[in-house]
Amino acid sequence: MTLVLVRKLLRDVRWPLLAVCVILFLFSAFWVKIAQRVTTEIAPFFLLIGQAQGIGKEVFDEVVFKGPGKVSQAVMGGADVQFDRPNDFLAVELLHPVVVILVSLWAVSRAASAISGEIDRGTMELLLSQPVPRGRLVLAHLIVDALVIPAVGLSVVGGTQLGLWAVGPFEVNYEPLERAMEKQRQERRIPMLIKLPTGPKHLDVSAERQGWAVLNLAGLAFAVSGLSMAVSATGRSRWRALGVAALVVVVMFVANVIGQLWEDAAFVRPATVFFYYQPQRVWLDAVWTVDLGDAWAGGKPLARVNVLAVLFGVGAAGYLVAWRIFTRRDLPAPL
Amino acid sequence: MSVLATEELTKDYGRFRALDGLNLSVAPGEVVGLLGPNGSGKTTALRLVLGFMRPTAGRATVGGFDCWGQSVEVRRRVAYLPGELRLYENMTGRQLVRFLGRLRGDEPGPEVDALAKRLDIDPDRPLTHMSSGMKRKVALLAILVPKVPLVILDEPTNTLDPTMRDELLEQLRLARDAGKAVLFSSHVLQEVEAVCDRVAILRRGRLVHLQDMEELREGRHVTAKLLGPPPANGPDGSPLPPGAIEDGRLDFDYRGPLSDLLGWLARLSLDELKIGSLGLTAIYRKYHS
Repeated sequence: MTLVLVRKLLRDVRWPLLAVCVILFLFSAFWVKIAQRVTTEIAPFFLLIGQAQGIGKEVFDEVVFKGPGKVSQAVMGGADVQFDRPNDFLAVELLHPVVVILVSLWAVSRAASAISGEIDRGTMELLLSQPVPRGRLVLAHLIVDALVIPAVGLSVVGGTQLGLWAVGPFEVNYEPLERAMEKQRQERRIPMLIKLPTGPKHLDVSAERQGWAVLNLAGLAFAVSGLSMAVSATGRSRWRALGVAALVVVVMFVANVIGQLWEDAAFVRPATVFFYYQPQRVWLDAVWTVDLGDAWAGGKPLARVNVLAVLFGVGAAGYLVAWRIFTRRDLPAPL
Repeated sequence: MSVLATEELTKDYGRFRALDGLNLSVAPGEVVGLLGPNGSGKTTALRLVLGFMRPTAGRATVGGFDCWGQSVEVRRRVAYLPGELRLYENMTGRQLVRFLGRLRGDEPGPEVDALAKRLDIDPDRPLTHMSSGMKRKVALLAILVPKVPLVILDEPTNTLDPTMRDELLEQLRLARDAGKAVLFSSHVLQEVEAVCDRVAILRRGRLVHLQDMEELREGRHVTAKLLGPPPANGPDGSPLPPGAIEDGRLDFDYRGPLSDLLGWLARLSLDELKIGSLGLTAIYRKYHS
């Protein structure tokens, strides 16, 4: 019976799932090209300019990520992101709004439609007039999440792998820059102030640990899905459930960002799922935890919690709440 | 022993009492109709039996299983046709029947095609391409295929054309003859008269009258113009009911052997004699005028 339900639910989501996976796959592949362009052309260019003026890399970091540019850090994450390092830039993809919004939206809409959608469409009576325990329906949705969320994650990984294969090695080639500067020097008769490095510079790039970071993304998706499922279990209108769930997610996102920008508001961050979404730490530093002291003790160490445990725990709690509510409530008649 | 039994079944929505102390039973091989206008509690009663809602008071059982606490066991024994019909539009009729059958642990076989032919539907047509009447036939197909002891239908003839309405009523008779218990709600008196063994009339959530249809069918309604003196007693020798004779006209209901009635009428001097069967209309109007 559960398998019958799962197959039916998978059939219902197959086209939206395919669309989401294709978009993420293509975006991930495209992001590799962007990463190559930034790290092998744009970043070296600005660093050389800065070098010529005596401006070090740390000044760029200070302006872009701290002080007036702190919002960039809040949105893109990672106090230690180095834009001249390919792996760092690749990791930024998992915090890009396209990925975060698409995955969150997918999780919200699928789960919010799960129970309130069936009631709204009027098909819940048809379903529950069969000998299907209500809890079994919630379980079927949980199984579907366990199948589709990895599919979404694999799209990201697959897209990155395709991108890496397509763009080839990340090599900084100084020859075009040298030619342009030489031409300018001859036309304007200004001396070359800096000596460019000779030969292409090979940059290390590896997506080996991307899978772990995508696990963090899967945790975020599951947490959002669980919360949405709990909302769905209480409602009778698909759109209202979707609206409420989306609002909760947006509020959490905004609260997390504001908490990063404004220290007085930092205490709310651990109450949001986005506080536990740290794909860059996982990918770049193999760190699976966050310190609550970052939000509650002004950055001093307080207590470290595992990000996956919290995210999957939130998702599981959401499903549990959904199960408890749905198995006990009266089913409203179709409108 | 009853397949379905309700005992003081009650449901409140806030301060509004939708169903008030319903006591009803349906035996195997019996068709029971729930009759009443919109808002009389028919659908509430059916949905309580199916475990869609928890009763405020009382209980309902199917095959001895409590409809709320053991809802899965109840639904294993029930096939239900909802009044507000909504199907999975991304399926064909056959896929829907197969899906619902598999949820019961059954794999529908060739009986689907036989029944589909009888109901005049193409089961391989997508549901999105079907009219509301055809969808109702698909839903009917889905509930007639499972072998269950109780069939519940909520206003089943909505949107059906007259031919299919007759076919549906025939299917209910066949279900009864096969030993199934059938409970259906309606506000169409003719349908209820045509197929039910008993009729429960609901008014504002209360069961106000339970009518045995066999008794009703055996009864006669007699009207005539008296040309001679009025009779002292009725066909069975007992006094006629009050109001049976007014302004020289005879008007009364009779329940008894037809031969006695005819013999009695033959001894009177009458004109414009009419003998008709008793219908639900008068009874229904008594509670819903």
